[in-house]
Amino acid sequence: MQLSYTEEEMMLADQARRYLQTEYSFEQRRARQADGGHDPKVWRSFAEFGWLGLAFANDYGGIGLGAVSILALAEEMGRALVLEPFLEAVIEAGTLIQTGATPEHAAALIKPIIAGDSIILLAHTEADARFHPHHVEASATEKGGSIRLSGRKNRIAHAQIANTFIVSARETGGPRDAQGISMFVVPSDRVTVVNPATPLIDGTWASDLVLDGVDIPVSARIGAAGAAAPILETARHRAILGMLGMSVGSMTALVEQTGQYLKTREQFGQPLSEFQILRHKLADMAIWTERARSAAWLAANALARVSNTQHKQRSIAVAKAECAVAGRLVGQTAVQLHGGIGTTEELEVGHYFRSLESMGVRLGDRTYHLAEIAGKLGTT
Amino acid sequence: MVAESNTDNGFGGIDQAFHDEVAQFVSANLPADIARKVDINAPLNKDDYVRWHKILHSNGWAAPSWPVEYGGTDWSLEQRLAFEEICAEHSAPRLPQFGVGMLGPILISRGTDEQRKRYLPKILSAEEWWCQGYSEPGAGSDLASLKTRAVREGDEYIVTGSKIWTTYAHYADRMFALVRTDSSGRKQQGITFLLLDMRSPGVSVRPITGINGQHVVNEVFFDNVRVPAKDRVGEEGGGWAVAKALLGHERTGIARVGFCKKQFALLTRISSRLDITGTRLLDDPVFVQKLAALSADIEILEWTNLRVLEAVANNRGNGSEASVLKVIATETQQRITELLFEAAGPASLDLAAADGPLPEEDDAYVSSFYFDWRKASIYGGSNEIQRNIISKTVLKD
Repeated sequence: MQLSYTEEEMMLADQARRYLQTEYSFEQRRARQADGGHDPKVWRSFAEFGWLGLAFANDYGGIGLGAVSILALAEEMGRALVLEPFLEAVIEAGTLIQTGATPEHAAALIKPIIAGDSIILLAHTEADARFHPHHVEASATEKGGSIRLSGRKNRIAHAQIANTFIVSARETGGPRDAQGISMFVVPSDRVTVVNPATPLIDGTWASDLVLDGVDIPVSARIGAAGAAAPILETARHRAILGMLGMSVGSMTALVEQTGQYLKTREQFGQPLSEFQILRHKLADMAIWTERARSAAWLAANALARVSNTQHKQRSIAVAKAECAVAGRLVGQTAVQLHGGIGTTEELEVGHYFRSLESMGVRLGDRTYHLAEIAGKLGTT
Repeated sequence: MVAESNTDNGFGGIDQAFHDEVAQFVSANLPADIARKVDINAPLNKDDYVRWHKILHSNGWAAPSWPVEYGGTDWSLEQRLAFEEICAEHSAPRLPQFGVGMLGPILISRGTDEQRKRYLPKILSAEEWWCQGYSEPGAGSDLASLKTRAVREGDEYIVTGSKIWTTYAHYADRMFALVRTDSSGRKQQGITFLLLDMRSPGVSVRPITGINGQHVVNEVFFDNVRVPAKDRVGEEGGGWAVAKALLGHERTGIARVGFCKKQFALLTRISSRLDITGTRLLDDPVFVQKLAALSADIEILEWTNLRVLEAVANNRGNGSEASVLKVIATETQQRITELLFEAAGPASLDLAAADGPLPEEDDAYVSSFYFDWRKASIYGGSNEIQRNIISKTVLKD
């Protein structure tokens, strides 16, 4: 198992931190947030650093690094509260394409992603899914060499900047069956956007999508018909890993910033850091950040080294459930220790808190993942 | 997964031959009566501990952390950790650490040749039982304010005062103690580390009955007890440095992951009992969610432990790792005892007997364990002291 970053991974993190410190200050971030978070210039830099190709295989022009590298980079992005669709477009959709598509199809889709010329997003979640990974009502009907897609996709983050969607749709079975789900590559101009660019708590925008009988060629299907569930899970696991990394980065930043604030803010004639009750709350923030870091390393090792599916699923559920409660405690406490100013949009702290809560919910909240763990308790 | 061994958890890095060797030895040699007591958290007596210690000693495993020349092993940190975990998972008792874990390393690094020759072999063979004389009625978490006085008289010290919370003082042949030889300077100065004979004239032991009705700790009184000066470790007035060095030993013993997994297995066993209607507590959706959260907590403890040990081994620590680990470990352990208490239901109302025949029920000692384990967040530097240390580290930057 691996429990700390290699020199190469630390160099990657250093590079990211240096760039983000100068190009992703809170003020710069605020300006980008007004436009939904995406800045083509920033994305271009990500491509130039090679970050967009980090986790793709060499065959596709990527660097071929593993789970721990994703963690290292995601931590820095969480520290800077990056709003770019790195997890969604590169880790989640990218993993899906690399895992599911034929080599030719994958190469055609991945090379432009790595170059920064293409933003492809997974359009999977639907309004009634809550967190169920196999909830797909959208239908795919094959008819004379083409496929007709019908259905709605809900709250797709960054949809306003995607040129392509990978749409999940059901070929057979009921709404929550694992069997029968397929994925299809659909150009964004074939999709009707509703509720466009609705702000989310983490500072990004999302849209709902309607597929109103969209005809696409059979060759747009990724992987075998009806067999997308395991591929979706692989992509989901990697996205969760990235989210854990970002959460840990955000928590680390909050511990540092809150410590600085306690040292400088004076009340009753002394710095807040002189009050033991406040120091102990700060200590709890540090303790829970370390718990979240342990969760992230558990997940990274599970994805890199564990082949048993049940074991891997449990590890991811443990990590995600833990990280959600840690993020909440660290975020809430940071706001509390900053006092009134912590409850405003003027300070970074509130933005970290909202982002942490967002990551606590997305891809399954604590209750969902605890139920996953509980379901496996009898089987171990 | 929770029940799986730490060294066989599917993450690689398994030393299978070592794991098998330890597991086979423990299952072949651990007396069944001791294992059963450990299994249900029944109190162990001196004979139980000494029997198991001597069995380990017969195989050269009584003091794995000591250098080979003193009777230790050449095991790596990972192997020592694995050894403790495997022992715990096989229901072996965790031996009191005063001799092997605490005094031994101190004598090896700071003792005289004579002290090493005199004391180490009998620690190793369990011929002499040691206890720790640190806390005093007026000095708990603020250890350095201790007042037990030692006055030099020729080649002896005359010790007067008292110690409290002395675990197994009633079993002990000897005590290592912090005493005050000078009260003129800072309170950390003027403390001296002495080795004394519990059978010396002037030593008396008062039992203290714990919150669970069991006798484990004591108060020890010294009335002009004579201690030869050659039984001082380090310089006169240098005892604080010795005590601090001692606290740095045995980081592998803080988390007790194997013990936690073992307790979780007991919890699962108790929760899986079928009642007359064919129902298990495990089927209760409210309870099972608590169980799921606890099993996640134990896994987080396991990974925190691994990360901390790796960071410390590679000198990458910031100094507060052991404190973070202590808080996470003891709070997780206490959560386990709460759920055991809850799982037992009305059976938790029974006050367990201090002696007599061993009950057959798995849940006979859950309340004893629950009440007793409140000590975990108090001993070894209370969790509040640990939070002071952690916040100091954050505020330093």
